[in-house]
Amino acid sequence: MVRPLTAHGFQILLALSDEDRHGNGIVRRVLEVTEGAVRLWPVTLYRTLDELRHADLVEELSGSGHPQGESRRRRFYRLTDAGADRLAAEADRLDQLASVARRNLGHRGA
Amino acid sequence: MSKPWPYRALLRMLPPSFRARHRAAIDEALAAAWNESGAVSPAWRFWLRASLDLSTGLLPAWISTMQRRFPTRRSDRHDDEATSMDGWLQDIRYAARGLIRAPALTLLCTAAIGLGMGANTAVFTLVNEILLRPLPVREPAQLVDVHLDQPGANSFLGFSFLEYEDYRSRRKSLEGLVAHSGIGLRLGDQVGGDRIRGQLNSADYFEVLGVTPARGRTFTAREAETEGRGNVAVVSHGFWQRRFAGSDDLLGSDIELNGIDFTVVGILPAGFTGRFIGFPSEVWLPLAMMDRLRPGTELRSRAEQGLEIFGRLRAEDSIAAAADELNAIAAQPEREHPDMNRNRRVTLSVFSGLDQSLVSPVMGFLGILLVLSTLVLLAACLNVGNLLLARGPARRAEIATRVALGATPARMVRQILTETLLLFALGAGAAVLVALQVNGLLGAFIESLPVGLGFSLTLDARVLAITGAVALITALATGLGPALKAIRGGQAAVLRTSRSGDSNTTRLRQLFVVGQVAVSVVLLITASLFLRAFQRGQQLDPGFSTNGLSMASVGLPPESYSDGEARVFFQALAAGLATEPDIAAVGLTANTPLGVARSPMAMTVPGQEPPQGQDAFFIDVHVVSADYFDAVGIVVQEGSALRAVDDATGAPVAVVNARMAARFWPRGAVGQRLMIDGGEIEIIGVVGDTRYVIQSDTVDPLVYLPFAQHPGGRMSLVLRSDTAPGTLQRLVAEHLARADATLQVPTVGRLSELIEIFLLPQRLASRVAGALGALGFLLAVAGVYGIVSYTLGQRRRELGIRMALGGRPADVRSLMLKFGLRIVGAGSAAGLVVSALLGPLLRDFLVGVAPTDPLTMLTVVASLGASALLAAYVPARRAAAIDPATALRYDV
Repeated sequence: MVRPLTAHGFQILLALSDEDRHGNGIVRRVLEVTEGAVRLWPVTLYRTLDELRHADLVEELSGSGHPQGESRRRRFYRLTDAGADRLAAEADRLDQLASVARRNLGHRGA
Repeated sequence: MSKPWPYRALLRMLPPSFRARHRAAIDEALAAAWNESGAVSPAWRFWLRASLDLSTGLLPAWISTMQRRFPTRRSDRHDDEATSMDGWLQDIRYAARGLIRAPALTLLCTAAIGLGMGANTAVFTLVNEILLRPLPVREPAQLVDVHLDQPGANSFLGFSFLEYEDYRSRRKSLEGLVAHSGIGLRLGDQVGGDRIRGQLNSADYFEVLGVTPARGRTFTAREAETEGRGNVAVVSHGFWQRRFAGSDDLLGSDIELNGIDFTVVGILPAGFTGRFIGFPSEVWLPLAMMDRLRPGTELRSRAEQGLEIFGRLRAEDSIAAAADELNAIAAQPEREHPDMNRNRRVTLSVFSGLDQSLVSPVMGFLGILLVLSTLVLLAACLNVGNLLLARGPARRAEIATRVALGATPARMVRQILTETLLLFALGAGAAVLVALQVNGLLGAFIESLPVGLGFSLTLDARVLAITGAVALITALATGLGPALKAIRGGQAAVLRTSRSGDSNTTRLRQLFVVGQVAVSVVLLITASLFLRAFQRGQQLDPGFSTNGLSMASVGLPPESYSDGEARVFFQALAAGLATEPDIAAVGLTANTPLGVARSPMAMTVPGQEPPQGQDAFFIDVHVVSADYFDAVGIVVQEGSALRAVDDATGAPVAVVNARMAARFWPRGAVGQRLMIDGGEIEIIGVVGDTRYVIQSDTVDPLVYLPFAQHPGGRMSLVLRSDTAPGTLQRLVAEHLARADATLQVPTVGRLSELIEIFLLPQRLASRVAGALGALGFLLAVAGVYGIVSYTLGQRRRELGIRMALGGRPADVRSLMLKFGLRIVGAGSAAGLVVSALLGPLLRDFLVGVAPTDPLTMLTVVASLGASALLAAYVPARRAAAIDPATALRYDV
């Protein structure tokens, strides 16, 4: 069985699922998606990124891979194929849980 | 945005590789977060949140760094769940088992941490209550206090009502300006009814503070400031609950205060007890009632300068501009009434829940308490760190075994840190219990005081959060050393286990104990200094005997007594009381013989230049009757003691104290002159010096003026009598009733009790510091015992060899004692240095004792040294009893 992603890990993979982002880009995207409910603080962010990178779910782009017009100094992160698979698996898992919840609550409402 | 030091310190605790990689990115992310949130939330909250992020990330960051450095082995698959919940639970279970297996160690550590952190938590509760918890008023940051800034004036002198009216009507800045004055009240109609604290205030008091009554209303402007209109009262929520059991009938009914009926028109919300922390008010009354409530005073007199003023800044006001405007207004009354308003200037400061005269002593006092309790915590952490290190050699075998079986070093660090964290979590729990207990004791102590202080010492969320954070940080700081030590030993991954620790660990442990001794020396010296200051304060010779001296203040309503009538009244009252066989002597004074307030007046002395920048001397003046010196026991050294004067018709005369005489007329004061208010006064006598301001260590110049020539409607009776307080109270009540039955009967109080109250800070400090010192002492003695026993264990073989080669038991004993002595000596030396550095901080609180008092230092070092040597003697004796044969066989 695959170990569940941590909540922060999931948020970061989700933020990288549509485009490559740098650290602050991830923070802003997560704020956007969660409507301000989740703010990733710096140490949590980079620690979790390190872990995801170490697990090959995320890769760091070399200088040449930067999107145009962005500073070279900033490090950009991209979702790896394994990361995409993992995100999809996590989404399925959450979906399953959500449907169980809806079903049970549906019983209750009836 | 600059990072505060705790955050920087935490940053430095991150793994170096992580820091090197991400530092710039973290700075950038922080700056972005700051820009987004900084504007709306206060800085401390931002940094608290950021520190939380950092401290929770600390451990995982170390673990993943370690994992990368020591790659996981095949056989260790089950251990790889380093970041999963499972692994953590397993760690905690394992740690709990370990702690239960060593109950003595666990108990000792929990107790040490609990006491250390408990002391800290209790002190922080006090800091929280006094400094941090905001007053329950609207926008407290906009409120400003207006202080009087006049040469020679003391902090108890304030503003007159007419002055206040000038400021209020002419100012253009400030949203509102409020005058108020505290007043002691007697509730109910029986003599000796409950004494409660109240406030007299101007109309917009509640509006400017932003306090709306929970029920009813507050005063109208007409009620507050028109004499005879305002028999209305607003009461606190506590007053309503405690005294009227929350009854709905209170609103609209009458209560009697100082013999006058007031209708309760409003009840304030719970939590508001006035603007001063620690001095809760129960009743608020219109300022216009002052003259009737406090007979002998006159609200609309420029001489009546007892009001405090505060105001609210509008958005466009600055403190400096508002102060300039008020000073420009102040110049006007000065021109119109130069005698009363000479050199009166004001300063404005941010509104504080402390009276201006209390701000710096209270801050200093709390600062000292914080330093002391932090020292105790430091001693406790050193102790726990030492105990954990002591387990190192024993743990090494276990760690080596587990590493050999496939556990990663990172996993082992996490394991050991989890144990420390669990230990500190237990300690934090104990600390909360300790703090609750201490707060309870402190609360009871405060309630037993005769001054009616009121604090609600509660452990709120902020205090608990700080306790938790302190536990986390101290646990990491304490546990990391032993953990890394243990793993480095384990990394060698040898099953060869020798019981003797490596010399590195031993040196670290010795250093810990030296630190403990140093800390406890500092604690003990501070505690002893406070104790000595308290004793000195009790013994300080005021220049007269307070034994058998009692006081009672009597005020006459000005509408029924002219000054001349007041003179006749008081002289008759004093003479009547003096005929009582139980009373030895009766004096009259407008000031207390030993009080807190100064009463300076501007005067000039022919032939003497006033101090630079001033056009007069400001010298304290006491108005007293001729019998006063006799009653108090002040010796007449030269001339006569106002005795020649008993009415207003004679030429103005005065008596001065010896200090004044020496200062101005070293060749004889009698017959000399001084000028007050343009009038010439002849000096007819010199009396002995007395300390008349209680906080002062010195005797200052003082001028006594005869009551007969300066009569007033408010005087204090000074009674010398050995009879019981109850009898005195009855006698005063009887004589007063005979003279004028409509007057209030005052409470007769002993002077010695009055002095007790003023020695309160020293008393409190010596108690708290004494308790902390005792704690530090215990920890240090335990530490010395521990290190000597530990060293004995390590050197058992060596000692055995020495004895086998003919060493005498006495030699071995003295060897171990010398070792203990070296540790105590080094610690004491360090402690003395730190105490000397802390000295200046304490100076203000130590009346009559030098912060580097050699006797105190010597006593502390000697007694600590003796106890520590005793603690070292026990294991040293054991060393002398070593049987060489057993020792050599042991642990080879």
